[in-house]
Amino acid sequence: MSTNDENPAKTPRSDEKEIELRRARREQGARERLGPINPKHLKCLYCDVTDPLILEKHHIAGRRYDNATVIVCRNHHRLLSNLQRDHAAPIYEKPHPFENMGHSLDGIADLLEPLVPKFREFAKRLTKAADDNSGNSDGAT
Amino acid sequence: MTASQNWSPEPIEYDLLRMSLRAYTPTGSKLSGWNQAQLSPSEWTLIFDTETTVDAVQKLRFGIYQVRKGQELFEAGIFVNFKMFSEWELTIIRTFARSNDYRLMRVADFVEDVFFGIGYECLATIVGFNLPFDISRLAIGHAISRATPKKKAQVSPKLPTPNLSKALKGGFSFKLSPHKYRPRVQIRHLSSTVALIRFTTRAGKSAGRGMRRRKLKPLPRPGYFVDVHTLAAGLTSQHGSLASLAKFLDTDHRKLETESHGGPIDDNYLVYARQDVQVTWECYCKLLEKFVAHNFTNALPNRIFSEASVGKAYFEEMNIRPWRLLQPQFPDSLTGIMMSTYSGGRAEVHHRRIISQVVYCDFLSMYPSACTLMGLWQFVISNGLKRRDSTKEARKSLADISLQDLQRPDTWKQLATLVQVSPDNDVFPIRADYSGNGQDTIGRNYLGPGQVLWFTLADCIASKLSTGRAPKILEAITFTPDGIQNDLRSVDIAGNPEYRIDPYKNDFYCRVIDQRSEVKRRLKNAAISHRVALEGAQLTLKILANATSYGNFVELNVEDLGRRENRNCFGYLGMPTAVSVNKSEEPGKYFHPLIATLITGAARLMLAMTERLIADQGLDYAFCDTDSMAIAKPDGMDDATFFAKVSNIRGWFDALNPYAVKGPILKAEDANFALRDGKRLDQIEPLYCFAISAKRHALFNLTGDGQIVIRKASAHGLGHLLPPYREHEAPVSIPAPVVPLAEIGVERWHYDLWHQIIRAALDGHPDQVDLDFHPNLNKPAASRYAATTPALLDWFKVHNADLAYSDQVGPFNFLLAFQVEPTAIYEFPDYEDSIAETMLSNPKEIGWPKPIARFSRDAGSAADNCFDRETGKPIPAGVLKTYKDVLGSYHLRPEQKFLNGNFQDKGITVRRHVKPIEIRQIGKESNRWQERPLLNSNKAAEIDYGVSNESQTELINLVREVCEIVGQRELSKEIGISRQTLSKIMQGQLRPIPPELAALVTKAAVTIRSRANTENAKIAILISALDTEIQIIGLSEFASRLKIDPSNLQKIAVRKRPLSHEMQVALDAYFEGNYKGRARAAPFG
Repeated sequence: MSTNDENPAKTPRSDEKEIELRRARREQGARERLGPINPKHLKCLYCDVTDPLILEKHHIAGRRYDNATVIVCRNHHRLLSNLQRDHAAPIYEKPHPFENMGHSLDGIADLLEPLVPKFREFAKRLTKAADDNSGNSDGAT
Repeated sequence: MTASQNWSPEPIEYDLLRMSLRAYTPTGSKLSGWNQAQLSPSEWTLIFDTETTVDAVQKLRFGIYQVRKGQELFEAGIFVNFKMFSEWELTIIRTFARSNDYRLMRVADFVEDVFFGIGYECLATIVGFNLPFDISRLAIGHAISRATPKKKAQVSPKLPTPNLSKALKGGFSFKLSPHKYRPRVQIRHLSSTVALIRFTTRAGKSAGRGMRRRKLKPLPRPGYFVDVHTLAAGLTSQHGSLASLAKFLDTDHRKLETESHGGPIDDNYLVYARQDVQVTWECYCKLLEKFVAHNFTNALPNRIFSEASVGKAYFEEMNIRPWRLLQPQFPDSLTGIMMSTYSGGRAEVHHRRIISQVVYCDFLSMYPSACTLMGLWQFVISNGLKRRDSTKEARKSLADISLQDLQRPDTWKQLATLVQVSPDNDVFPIRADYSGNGQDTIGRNYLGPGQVLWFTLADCIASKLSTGRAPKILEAITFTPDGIQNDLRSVDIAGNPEYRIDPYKNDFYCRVIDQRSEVKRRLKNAAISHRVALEGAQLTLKILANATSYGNFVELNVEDLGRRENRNCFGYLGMPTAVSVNKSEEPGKYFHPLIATLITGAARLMLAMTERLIADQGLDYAFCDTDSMAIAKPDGMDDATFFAKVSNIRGWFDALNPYAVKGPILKAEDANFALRDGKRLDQIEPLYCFAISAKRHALFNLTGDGQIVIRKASAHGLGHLLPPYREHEAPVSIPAPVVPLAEIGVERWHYDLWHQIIRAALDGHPDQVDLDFHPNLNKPAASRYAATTPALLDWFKVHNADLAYSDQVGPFNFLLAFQVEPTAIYEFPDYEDSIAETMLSNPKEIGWPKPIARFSRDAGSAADNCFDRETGKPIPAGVLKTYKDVLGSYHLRPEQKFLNGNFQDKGITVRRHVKPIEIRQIGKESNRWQERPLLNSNKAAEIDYGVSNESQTELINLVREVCEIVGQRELSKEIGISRQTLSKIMQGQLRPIPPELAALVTKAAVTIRSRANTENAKIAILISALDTEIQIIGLSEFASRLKIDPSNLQKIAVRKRPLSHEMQVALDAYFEGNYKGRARAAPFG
């Protein structure tokens, strides 16, 4: 039997492969952090970011008030969290259900806030298109 | 003789038997284990395979792995147990690794760097063929897995966890790494193809500070294990080896052959091992393609355990919500009644051990057909069950119903009814311990009066068809679907829009069978390029029809509780009985006992109808099995008449064909038709049957020169034995099979055995079968054994006690088990002394030697290295039972559920008249059935809920009655318990009576009562004979001949004095001895 069996060196991996694996592990950690979500839905609510390392879970009403979350990228998470700072201050040590509901509604409004410029833009475009068409028709069809 | 002719209006004697009925014991848990969210695996895949020594320990020598990112090979390597090889062999391995660009490492490095480093940390899919064996080779320790960790983990409510924990309890928990931060791997073997595998939650801090502050734990990482063997069984019904699977899936590479297992390493062996991993990967890819073709939204390949999993996935795809979820308030008492009516398919032999000419027929897709005829799809997609009392209606319809009514499909729609009957020698499926060995079997027998029980209406109709009398219905409940679920979705089978099923418009079962018929029709004329796709579709549809029409509705997963818990058991009485259980039955997702019992009831009715039609045509049947019946030709009938009559019977069922393609629903099997050059002709050829017992039969033709051509045979009772010889070693004295063995359904040695059994019957000596047809039958008979459960591994408790872990026989090791022939031990005096010494040293623990040997396909050579698994002492091969010993009574196996079914009996079996002396409530009968032949005990696997309160009262009354006859002392001795315990039972202080004790008490009481009845009958006959003798020869003469006082005799004659034992002996001697030969003198002779 072999005598040199105590600690034979393993064939090392190339540095590139080690880096690739480390990245894969970090990505796996990030996916676990985001929870069991269908990979098709792993995307920021506002932009095209799909990398789980950049995605985070945003608590719509704030951690204190509700568990509901949405997936957003770090940038948008920072923006939403900034808006959350303007929500009403805590009233009770243990939040009242109405308080939870109020914060949830505030949170939902926050979600829509980054979209407000888009809504305004669409509204302008539509009215402008209607205005441009005004010579060709009598208005409502 | 037919069943109806068997019936006797005044049964002479009932068999008093312990009867068993299924019961329902709610676990109280919610819909656990259902729709649990799971992280989908990453794009990484780890495929590995291990090679081991071939001794009993099966120690890991080396293994080969591949890591793939997507389809691309990321790296490959070889991990080696360096201690196992010489320097020269290591040089070969190093050269191999270098030339193949493989990483070379120690086993521990593989575990740390690859198995955990990639498999666990990157959530790779870990793929193997028979993964439990390979994973257990990597282990450095193991324990029995528990249900929950010691400290109950509070898991984040936002992160639902796969609840595999309970399901894995009672399996093995393997330690692969010495590091505490590495999780263990839990494996629980469920069947030969299925094992649940997962990583446990690792110890130590695994959450960040924020989560710890909120007392949350991260999502456990159960891993993503895919056993190709399991996935293949689920998706393609292939249960064979990797070689046969690769052939079936037509992979680019095929498994290589080698004889080098355990021998010195050479390049060929390393290439063989490398190819194994490549073939496993290719099989996995092919199976994944098949899986993806199903287009499931939520199902993942690691959750496909069987065909039933595919069926469930389709139900989920259609968004069908489970009945238990929609109707959680449904009374448990009714569920218990439903379960009590449930019995499986009917399998019995009628012509036992005689040769009959038959036409073998089976029903087209029996269970799907039953579902369609009864409209059970509406129950599957309904919001729940509505029920109504239908006693009067059921009585009337049962009284009026005739065979012709059952020819109308409308009649079947009204069979969703359960009825409570007061039996009066009606024919019902009776699950009882007919053989007295504690093993229940189901026999369709006459049920005597006394016990009110529930059955399906279909069973009552079947009884009426058999006896001509309608069973007396006390109560009936008819069930109807309560509305239809919203939001159901259409589904494309195998992702093909051509095979779309709309759950609202289509009857699922009917549509699937129609689609399959259409595919099969197209397949006949298809171009070769289309054949593969059509074959695949045909197979998928077949699997789907079978997977969704039965098993899921009666899915109960047994969990070992580890301790006794008090539960309520609901059964035939409709009332709860408090029971103490150590096993729990967790209903599966689509558990629906009503549908399950109606399906099997309808299948039994189909067979009863066939039996009735057979009798009406003046024919008989040789055997039947679930969906098939061998119709037998009576003596003196010519073939043409026989075939015409069978054709009439088959044609009778055409009206019941619910499918688009009209045609026979009762089909004549291929075995009935003549063969030419291996091809089936349309011409019927006389087919003969030799049946021994239920599921043990063979069908054959006879050539002009008397040669036997076996067409079908069963391997029932032979499957556990290793083949004594391979196909190419078959005896030349037995003609080779004309029909391919795969079509016959057995291996070559099974075929040879059946040939000899049939030959003996044809030659007029069916009891003496010539088993000298192959020299290997004189070798020890070996059974395959794998230590797949802790109970089976316990075989090696003593053997392993003082060995290092790496030298122990461990979980999932394959070995061979043998049996000792006690009489042969005396031929080996040295060995006899040795075991006598061992047995004396610890008589309670150690009985006969328990021989075991390392696994080898050549059982004979393996037996030479046989040893006692408890003492480790070698056992001479000469003391082992040979194949001839084991197979010696194969052809005599009794069919105890019927009369005339004992070992030597042959001819027509006769239904028993049964009266239940006690009704036992039981759980799943097939629990751990694969273990049972090896454990030689059913106790560990049985789920016994004991007897109901009423039955317990009856039992106590029986004990009191018997006690009056023989007294407490004798009764307690007969049972084997103390008089104090017996006294407690009689006074009702020991309630509930533990099931094991109840069984002992019942057996003893029945034996004593039966003995007492025999004694009483004998005394009655003696006194009657005594009266006659006094009338003939006078009192004085008779007293003088008996040499007793006439006044004493006078008192006995006028019943003033009981017949003493001495007097009985004297009368016995008088009638038997002194007056032998006189007609009147031997009334009881």
